[in-house]
Amino acid sequence: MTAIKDLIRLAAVGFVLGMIIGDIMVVAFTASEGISLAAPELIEEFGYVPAVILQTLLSGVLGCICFGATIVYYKDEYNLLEATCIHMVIAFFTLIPISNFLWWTGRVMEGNIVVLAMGICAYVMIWFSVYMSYRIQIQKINEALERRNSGKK
Amino acid sequence: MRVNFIQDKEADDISVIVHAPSRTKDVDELMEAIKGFVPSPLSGYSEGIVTKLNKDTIIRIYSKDKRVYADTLDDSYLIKSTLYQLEDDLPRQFVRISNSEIVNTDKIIRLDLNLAGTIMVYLQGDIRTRVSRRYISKVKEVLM
Repeated sequence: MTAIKDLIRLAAVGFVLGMIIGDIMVVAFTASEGISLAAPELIEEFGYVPAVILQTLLSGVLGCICFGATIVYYKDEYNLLEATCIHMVIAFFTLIPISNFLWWTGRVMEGNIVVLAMGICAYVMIWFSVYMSYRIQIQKINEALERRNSGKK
Repeated sequence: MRVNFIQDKEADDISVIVHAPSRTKDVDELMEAIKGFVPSPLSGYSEGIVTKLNKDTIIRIYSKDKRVYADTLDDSYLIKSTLYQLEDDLPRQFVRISNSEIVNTDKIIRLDLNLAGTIMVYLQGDIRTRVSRRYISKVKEVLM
């Protein structure tokens, strides 16, 4: 029950964050050609208002799934590497169709490869930073244990 | 004889100081009695025999197949309490390391993290078990 509640909470937060981040990124990427809340090709395809609604909602869905999927990191049955891989697969299966539909990748193979490459780099960095934070904590615990055990001798 | 209690949140164990005008036979007997005090033991069941387990001798307490067991260097005992109940009754040196396990920090030899990110704890009695990532900060808090 707690896991379901956690999942709903994470997904809800992810939906809001996804909408905000998605819109900010599109604004940033289209800034050179005049600020827009959706990719120009998407606007051409659906018209301005539906394109902006689609862009915002699908960014929310992406955030919802990616943030909700972080629940795997709280599951004891998966180690850190497994949790990172599961999250990466879920994120890619969501990101690739959405980013193609919203014209983020230009609907070309090169665009998808760039997104995949950037995603893999991001996940390697996430895994490494989390791994190092645990490693440092464990090193400190082992030092404390050594001090305790030598004090008892 | 007056008995007073002074709370000390910084203390890591119970400490008793006997105040007396001089060290008499009564004082010595009282100190011996205090030294021999064993905190309320746990009842452990092994092969139909009930054993009073000194909590200091317990290495770990864990649940398996909906039953709770306590491991000591000598044997493994069935405990008729839930981990949740025990968590409150056990002394401070015990810490939860996962949903299904509590360990005695005095019996921890070391912790280890492998490349896959699995955290293992090595305990006395050649016991090796997994630590949940969620509980690592709690372990750190108890030990540091």
